[in-house]
Amino acid sequence: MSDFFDNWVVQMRKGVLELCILRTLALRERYGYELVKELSQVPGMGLTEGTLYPLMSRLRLAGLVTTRLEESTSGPARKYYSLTPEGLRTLETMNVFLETLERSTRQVGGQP
Amino acid sequence: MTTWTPTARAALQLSLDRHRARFAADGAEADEVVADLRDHVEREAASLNLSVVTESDVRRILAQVDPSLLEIPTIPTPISTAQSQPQAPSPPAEGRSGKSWLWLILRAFLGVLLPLGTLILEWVERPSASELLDPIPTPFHILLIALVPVTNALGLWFLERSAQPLPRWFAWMLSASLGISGAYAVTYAPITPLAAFGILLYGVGLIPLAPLIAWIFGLRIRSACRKRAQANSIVWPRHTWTAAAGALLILAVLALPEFFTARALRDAIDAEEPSDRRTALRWLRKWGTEETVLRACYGTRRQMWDNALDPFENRKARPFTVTAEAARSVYFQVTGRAFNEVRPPLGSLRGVGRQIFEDFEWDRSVGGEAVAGHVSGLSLQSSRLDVTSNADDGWGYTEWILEFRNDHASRQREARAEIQLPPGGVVSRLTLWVYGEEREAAFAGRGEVRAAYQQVAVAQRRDPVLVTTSGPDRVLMQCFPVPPKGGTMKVRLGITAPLTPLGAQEVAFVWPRIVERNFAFAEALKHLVWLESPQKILNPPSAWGWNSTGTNHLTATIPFHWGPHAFPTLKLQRKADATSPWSIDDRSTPHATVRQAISSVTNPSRGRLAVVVDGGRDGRDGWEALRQYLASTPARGELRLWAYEDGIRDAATINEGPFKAAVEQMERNTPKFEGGHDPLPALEAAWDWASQQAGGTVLWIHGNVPVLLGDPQSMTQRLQRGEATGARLVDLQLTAGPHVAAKEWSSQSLYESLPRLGTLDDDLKRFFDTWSGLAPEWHWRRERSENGNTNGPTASRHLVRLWARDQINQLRQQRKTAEAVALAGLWQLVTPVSGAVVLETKAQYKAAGLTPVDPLTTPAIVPEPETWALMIVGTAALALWHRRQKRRH
Repeated sequence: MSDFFDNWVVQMRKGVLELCILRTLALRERYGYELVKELSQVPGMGLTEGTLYPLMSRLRLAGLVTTRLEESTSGPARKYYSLTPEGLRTLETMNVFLETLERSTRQVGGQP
Repeated sequence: MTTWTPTARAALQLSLDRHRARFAADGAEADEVVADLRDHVEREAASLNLSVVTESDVRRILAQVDPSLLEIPTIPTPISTAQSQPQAPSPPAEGRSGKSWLWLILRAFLGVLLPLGTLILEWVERPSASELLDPIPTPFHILLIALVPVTNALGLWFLERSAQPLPRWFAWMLSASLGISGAYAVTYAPITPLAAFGILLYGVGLIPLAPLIAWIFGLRIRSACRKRAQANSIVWPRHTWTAAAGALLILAVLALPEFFTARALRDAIDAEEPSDRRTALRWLRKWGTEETVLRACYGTRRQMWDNALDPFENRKARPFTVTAEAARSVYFQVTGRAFNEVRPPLGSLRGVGRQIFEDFEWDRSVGGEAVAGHVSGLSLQSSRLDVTSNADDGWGYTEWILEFRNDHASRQREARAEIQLPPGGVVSRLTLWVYGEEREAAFAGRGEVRAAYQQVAVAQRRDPVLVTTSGPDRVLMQCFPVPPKGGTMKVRLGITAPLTPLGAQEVAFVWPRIVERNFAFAEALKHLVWLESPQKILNPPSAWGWNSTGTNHLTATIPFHWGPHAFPTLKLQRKADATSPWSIDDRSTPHATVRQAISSVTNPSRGRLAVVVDGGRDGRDGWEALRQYLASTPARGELRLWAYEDGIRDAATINEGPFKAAVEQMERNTPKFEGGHDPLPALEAAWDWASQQAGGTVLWIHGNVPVLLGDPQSMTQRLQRGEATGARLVDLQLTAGPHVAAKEWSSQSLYESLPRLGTLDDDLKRFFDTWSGLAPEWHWRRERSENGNTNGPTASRHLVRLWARDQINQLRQQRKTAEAVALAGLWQLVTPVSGAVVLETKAQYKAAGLTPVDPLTTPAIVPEPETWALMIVGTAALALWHRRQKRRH
């Protein structure tokens, strides 16, 4: 039971992690460290830096996010991430799909 | 401030590098993820306020960040990893493949060695400068261009040696380098297709492409550096374009003087308003770059910077072309010097394996009548002056042996020189060494010898040498071809000249000298001098050897860099009673004697004196000497003084008063003594004033006159038609250089050239003293007689040659040119109507209708071999002839 649930959680997280990142960036751009700290606060997300950075790189290569470097007075330059127009469109599509999925999921088994 | 230990840094990098393959397998860019994680760990370490980060700290932080990073991953490296990192900013693997080495070498060649080699080649050989455009007109350009290979080499080194981000300053350096290589790539763009075509067809043409290749290479370096910076979360400095703009600005600033000089040069030549031309000349004197004008004097093509700045020019309305002749005129007006007085342009940056400028490969003046510009490779290698003189008889004979050497790799050269003869001198011998043998010249009409020379020199490219007159007491010597690769050509000029009488008991010997040349002087050149005289030399130079046992003789070895002042005028003592030596004219029929006598004339007070002083660069000495003389002279009379600069300056006027009153006016009207100017308006004004009364004199004190800036005909007309006025133009040249006005007026009887016998003060005083009647003028008078009078001492036949010279001048003025040419041929003299040419073969002489002289009839330093025999025979013949005449009567 436990193993099954753990695997299911992993699968669920994989699916929604990109969505959470895109939603976070839709509000405003964030630099990597800030993004990690913010998303790691989300309960149940179980996000680590080792997970986030490869994911951010993949999103960038997919053209959904873009990066820019900005000098920082408190340390090395910060790498800011923001949504591209393509990323914004994808986020909207994902949101619509998730709402549809949620409604459909609730209807399955007679729940309202 | 947090310090990382090397092991901590290495542990972090190792841990992250181990997972590169996993990151890549996840579809991420491994370098980016590694850099992000490294950045993240560094921030975590900083937030922990660790003063020193150790390896254990790294492990601890990594465990917090992502424990899996401490594990050794099991995911195999996918084949597609390399594809996900196309620019490969990571450091190279320790073991480099052969292909990788080849790629590195190719990049090093194209990005570093090619631009560097091109720069060195341009510096040393200047292929572009001579054929296309000059990419390195100043030393600053060398520094700027050198930045390109240095930057590319640094970029390559950084990228190959380390995965670390490149230093920020390199971004600025790279941008500046791109600006420079881009500017040169654009400049060479017109010939880029041709160069590419050359590479494809002939395998040559890489050098013109070097800027473009270096620029492309720089762009690739820049791209790789940006990726490296991004991978290391380093911000690529913004606004680096300003460095490129700065480099372009420096290039533009360096080009501006040349650009504005070229514009002013054009204005000075063809501006519509004379005032605009004068303004352009003044600008050039003050701000212009001399080398730009000098380059135009040699007809070199437009420079790259002209192209770059062309948008500011209306080329349709004003074509750029400036002829070499026009540029030479402007060069004189700007600098006051002849263009060939100075080292040719572009030579200042040389020095690698060169002593003589070698860009002007093609000498367009071969066979011409002007010395023209310097040619590369040609130098005067040795010079020997042998003089024999007799002060009592008043003659000196100089043999000057000159050996030229041509170090050019392939081109034959013509050596050309204008030689100032001693006053009243005449070339009486010309010899050329052909295959080690002496060949004597043929003397004939000027046109004949020049035609023969041009046919043999220019058309057949064989060995001739030609000497013709080039103004008063000057000859133009030209010999061709001096063979390339160290070939030599040796000629001898024999010069017969009267010793200039300074008084009854004193005569002066003046050395011949080169006043204009198209060759360099070899560094080791020394003039070997030997002068003999039966009479005492009154002022032997202290540095010369002096031996008065037997015949007096002076010897010296004079390095050329001592300059013309190393040859002072020598004063010789003569017997006051040695008044009438004679020699025999045994070449005429009937034979006759030529007798020479010295006489003096003390001039009565002359008429008006007009003094015209050169207000250009060389005129200052004359002005000062004149001012000093006038300040101390008791002379009085009518004096007017003009100075000519960009206009005429009426400097002083004395109406029947003491001349010294002019000094104050002179001080108020002192010219600037800049550049070179047109003397004609001032001379015409001075002549018109002086000739209003009988016996007026115009004294013209001036420097070199390499070009005439106006039409001399107006002055020539005054000299031709002014006989009735009794006026004369006396020419005092301050410097030993070109004088084209003298060539124009030398045949006019109202024109006199004042011989330079001593210092300027001495010569000026001599003129004023004789002009004012304070001192007598001494002259030689030579008369030919057929009456057989052989009383008095006998002398060398040089007396006859000098008589013949005078006679030829008289015949010219009487327009008896054929007789003058015949007499010149008889006595083997180079005069305004005749010349001397040495040809190589008898066939050439025959084809030209010329006959070389018999070597036994030429003058020589040792007593002429048949002199005494001929004297005896001649005297006997004269006596016999007179006896027959008496019997008839």
